Amino acid sequence: MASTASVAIVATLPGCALGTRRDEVERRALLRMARLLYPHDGLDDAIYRDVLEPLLVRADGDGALAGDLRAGIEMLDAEAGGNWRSASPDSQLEALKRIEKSAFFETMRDAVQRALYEHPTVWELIGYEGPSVQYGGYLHRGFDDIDWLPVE
Amino acid sequence: MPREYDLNDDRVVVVIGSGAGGGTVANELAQKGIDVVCLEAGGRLTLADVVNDYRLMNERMGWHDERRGAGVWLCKTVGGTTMRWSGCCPRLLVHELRARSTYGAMDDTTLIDWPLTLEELEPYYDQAEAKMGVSGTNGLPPLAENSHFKVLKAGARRIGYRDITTSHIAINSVAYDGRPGCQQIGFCNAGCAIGAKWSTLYTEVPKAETTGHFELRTHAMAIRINHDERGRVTGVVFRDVDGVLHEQRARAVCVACNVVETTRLLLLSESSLFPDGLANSSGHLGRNYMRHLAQGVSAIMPGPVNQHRGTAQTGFVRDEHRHDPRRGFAGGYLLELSGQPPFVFARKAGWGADAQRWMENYSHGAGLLLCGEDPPQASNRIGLHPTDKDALGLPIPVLEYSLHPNTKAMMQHAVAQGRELYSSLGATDIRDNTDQLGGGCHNMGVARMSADPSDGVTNRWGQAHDVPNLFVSDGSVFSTSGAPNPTLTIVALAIRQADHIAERMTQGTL
Repeated sequence: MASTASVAIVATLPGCALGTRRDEVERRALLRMARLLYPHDGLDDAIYRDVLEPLLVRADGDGALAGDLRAGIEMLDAEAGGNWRSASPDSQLEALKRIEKSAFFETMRDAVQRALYEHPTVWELIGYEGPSVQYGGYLHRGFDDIDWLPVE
Repeated sequence: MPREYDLNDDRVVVVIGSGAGGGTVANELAQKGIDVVCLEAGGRLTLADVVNDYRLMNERMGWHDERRGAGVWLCKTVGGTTMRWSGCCPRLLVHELRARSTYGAMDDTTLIDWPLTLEELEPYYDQAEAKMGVSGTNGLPPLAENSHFKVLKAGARRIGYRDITTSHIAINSVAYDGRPGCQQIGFCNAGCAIGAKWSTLYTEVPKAETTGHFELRTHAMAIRINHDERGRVTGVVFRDVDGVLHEQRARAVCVACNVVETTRLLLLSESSLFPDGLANSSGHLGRNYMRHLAQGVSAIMPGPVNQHRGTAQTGFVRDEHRHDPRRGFAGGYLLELSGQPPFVFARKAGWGADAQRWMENYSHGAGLLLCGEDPPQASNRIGLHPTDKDALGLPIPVLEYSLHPNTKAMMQHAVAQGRELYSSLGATDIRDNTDQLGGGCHNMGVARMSADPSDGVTNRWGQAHDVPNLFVSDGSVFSTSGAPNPTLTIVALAIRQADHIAERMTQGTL
């Protein structure tokens, strides 16, 4: 999320208005990519936005990372023959597949993977019950209740 | 009563590190009335600081200083990696201590036999198991079988395995030694919030403090071991919490910083007398670095498993823990239960529709870890970067590691068995990640014990061949890795080493 401070600076510098629009375009592309990496229909965009936030905050203070993210989107645009985000879902996926060995892809995958599956809303979706010490663990909450194993 | 020793008190034994090796050797010495100063690079948590949050606990107890090369999973906190470990305590087998004699010459290895026998080690295994409250020993029942373990057991039996157990885990199956029984919390690797899993933080360290012969200094990172002109160590230079350097004088020094940092400290202690690093006349310091075959196999089962409910590594299958070259490799491996939180389970998810299927079936997920012997290679080594320094101004450790062909052959066998185990129960989506370098939790071998001083760094007591009052007390001394998780053997060796040090002191030879 662009801080209000940086927005204020941008507003005072002629020529940078284009830069903020570009940022928003990039942000949307990264959001789309996050969803395609781990596509859970039951999650709305707000979750993926939460998940991307730490990476974007890091990029705000790290010019090299910001540059890598920008270059990554440009790479996707090139693979999609223009604007990746407005390409068809199939073409978007194909473009992603073609760059899956890139450092950019890895950066995105690692960041999204860890943050997404540490998100309590996602836990609910996938059936993970999370911290348990405050409930006395799972000792009296079904730690051994499996009932489908074949009887020998 | 915690003691405070003067920096110039040269009667003390300085133990560097407070984990499995350091915490144990320090307590054992203090129990015998020997004065010990224990330097710990990290801080001291209480059980109230241990919460069910992997990210937060990694911040609180992980060792985050910069490193290059193969990744490792270390702790910088009182208790060291006993805070983060899973608790698995298998013993080494007789053939593993005689690896060179049993396996014969293996290309591109530096295989040796241990300079001690299983018979010599056994009484110390007994003591270690009693100390740690290992399940299935000392009258303690096996750990309760959780659903996830029952899946492992059923699959193992289907493919013909018979030696399947929840014994040999250092997690209290019932209350023991003032610590409660396991409540199946399921966050073992984020630290056990109730202290049911053995950690030196709440066993060895406070027990040592009650002797009146022990001082723990936290946020005290050792950066150099000094010696006199005869080549005897005389003291340890450490950096305190404010970055100020001090030297604690010492009668003897025990180094137990977990392999990577043990190597760095000894290399940093180079001098005109020891130009290649302290105790490194053999050139073996930092070499023969071993980290086990360590690969996971996970599967989506036909029904719910809830792998997160309860002890992460409740037990294992031991049928493949043997030497049988007909399998196409030397040495053996264990199949260990491996309960994973979603962010770890996700590492086998891939991406796209694959990931969606995998993760939305998390509740049906099961997993195991294959832990097997990894032969020593001179080229697998830990060294220091020639120019790059970390935030403390110390040279950055560089870890060079590649799998030996024997380990790859073992991996192939082990992964096939793991897959078979789950498919025997009807799993259809079974995944491994053999393309990745596993391991990093079990670090061994960089200052190995050897009968011949030209073959290793330490003798059968973990005493440096070159420096009689310098001891290594962590997994660095392993002559070979064997298959078992190393902690139990580290603790047994530390107890044995403390006996030896005390004896030498009584004799007046230390």
